[in-house]
Amino acid sequence: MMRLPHLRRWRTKKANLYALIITLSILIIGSYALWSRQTWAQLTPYYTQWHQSLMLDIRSTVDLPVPTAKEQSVVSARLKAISLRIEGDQHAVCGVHSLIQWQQNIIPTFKNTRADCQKIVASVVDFQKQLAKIIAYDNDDQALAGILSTVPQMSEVAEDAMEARMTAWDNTAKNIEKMKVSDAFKLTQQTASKHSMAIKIAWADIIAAHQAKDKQKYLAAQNSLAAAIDDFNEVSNTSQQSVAVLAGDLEKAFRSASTD
Amino acid sequence: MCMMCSVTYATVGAGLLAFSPGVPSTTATTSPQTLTSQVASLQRLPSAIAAFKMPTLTEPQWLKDQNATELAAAQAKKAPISRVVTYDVMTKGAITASFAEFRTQANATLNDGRGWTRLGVSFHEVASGGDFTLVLSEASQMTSFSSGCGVDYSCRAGRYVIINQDRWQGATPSWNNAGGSLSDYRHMVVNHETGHWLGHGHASCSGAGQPAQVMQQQSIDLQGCAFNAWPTASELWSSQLGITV
Repeated sequence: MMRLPHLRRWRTKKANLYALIITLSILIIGSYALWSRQTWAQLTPYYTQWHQSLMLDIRSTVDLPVPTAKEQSVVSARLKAISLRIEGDQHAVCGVHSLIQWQQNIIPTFKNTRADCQKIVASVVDFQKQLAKIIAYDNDDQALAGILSTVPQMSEVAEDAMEARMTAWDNTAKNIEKMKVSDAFKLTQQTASKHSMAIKIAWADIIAAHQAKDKQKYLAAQNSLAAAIDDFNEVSNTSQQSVAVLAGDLEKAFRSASTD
Repeated sequence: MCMMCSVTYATVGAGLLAFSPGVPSTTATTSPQTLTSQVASLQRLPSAIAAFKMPTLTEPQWLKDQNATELAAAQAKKAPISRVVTYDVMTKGAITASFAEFRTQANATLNDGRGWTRLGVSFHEVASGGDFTLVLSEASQMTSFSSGCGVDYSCRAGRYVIINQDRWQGATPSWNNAGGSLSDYRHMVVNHETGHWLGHGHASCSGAGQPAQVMQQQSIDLQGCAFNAWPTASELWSSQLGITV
């Protein structure tokens, strides 16, 4: 008789406790489900918007008028910014919180959503890799053009200035050889180095013939110099061919990145 | 716990299945051709290399001289001497130098292949009435030809090409100090004074180490030039004879 009310109270407490646990569980699980739902729901619009914004960024750069020498740095800077943006975003775009990642293993829709996102990011990263090659080439191109611009261009060279011309081309050849360049630029670098040395040798021959007052050798060396200067155009041709290959690869990567 | 599992799956499943993400659509339409041209236009090298042009090499003096010599030789071959310039010779004042030697050496100088004959002329000594008169003069008599002539140097006055005997015999201090020979001085002074008769004025040194023009006053100062007893290519003209370069 004494134990009955006590037992009844205990049972009531236990029922209340269950009710509380169940209620809390439902609340927690419900919140988790809601958060999961929102997270997965936001993934597609998020990466779609990211992709579209990126393409818009590229298009606005590409749509710039073909740059003059002054504007080249603007286009270069924008391409570099695009490359950096892709590099920075590539791991975050398709990321979902680790607490809900497991859900893609049981829900095919989530799995497909993430796969679609990763496919787009992969193609964009491929594009970025090609863009990085172009940017590296562009940097090398600028550096070599900078070295070449240090050779003073003279319409007339007096005999007392010939030594300085030879020295200038000797330094140019050495500076070109010292350049650390990207793989794609190596052929252009080698060609420029070869032709700079040819011009330096032609000047050396002119000086030697001048000192010996040997007319035949002097005139022959002068012709060699003219030929060596003409031949320097091969550097331009080599560079344009290299850029055409890089641009072709970039085109392919861009098509893939913009249509996936 | 089974009840918990059921509740969990039911809740999560119901919540999640209600969401079905769509496939993203892309609208990028950038022309790859434009991308290529934009990338190609970034190149700095073609414009840097286009600036390279073969410079004009200023013709060194030795080459000018060689060319002039070759040209003169070619012209001499093509056009044999077509004009004869005559001159008579006289002395003025007390002459101690050999007059015969003076006449012989002056004639040899005037008709030397390196001299004024490159104008296409030859010089013939005549007894009198020559186109000009070559004079060997005592130094003190120099001023008798013209107030413009002095006792120290040779001179030309009108038709007279006057060689100062002192200079003929001893050149000048500056010439001697610079190591010039007397025979070269004699070639030079005859060519220089005859050059005045041909119509030339005085010239200046064209650059240190360059051969002096024969019309430079080498008796006074070489101005950094090297001795040269013969007319240079640029001096091969004569207003007196109507011969242009």
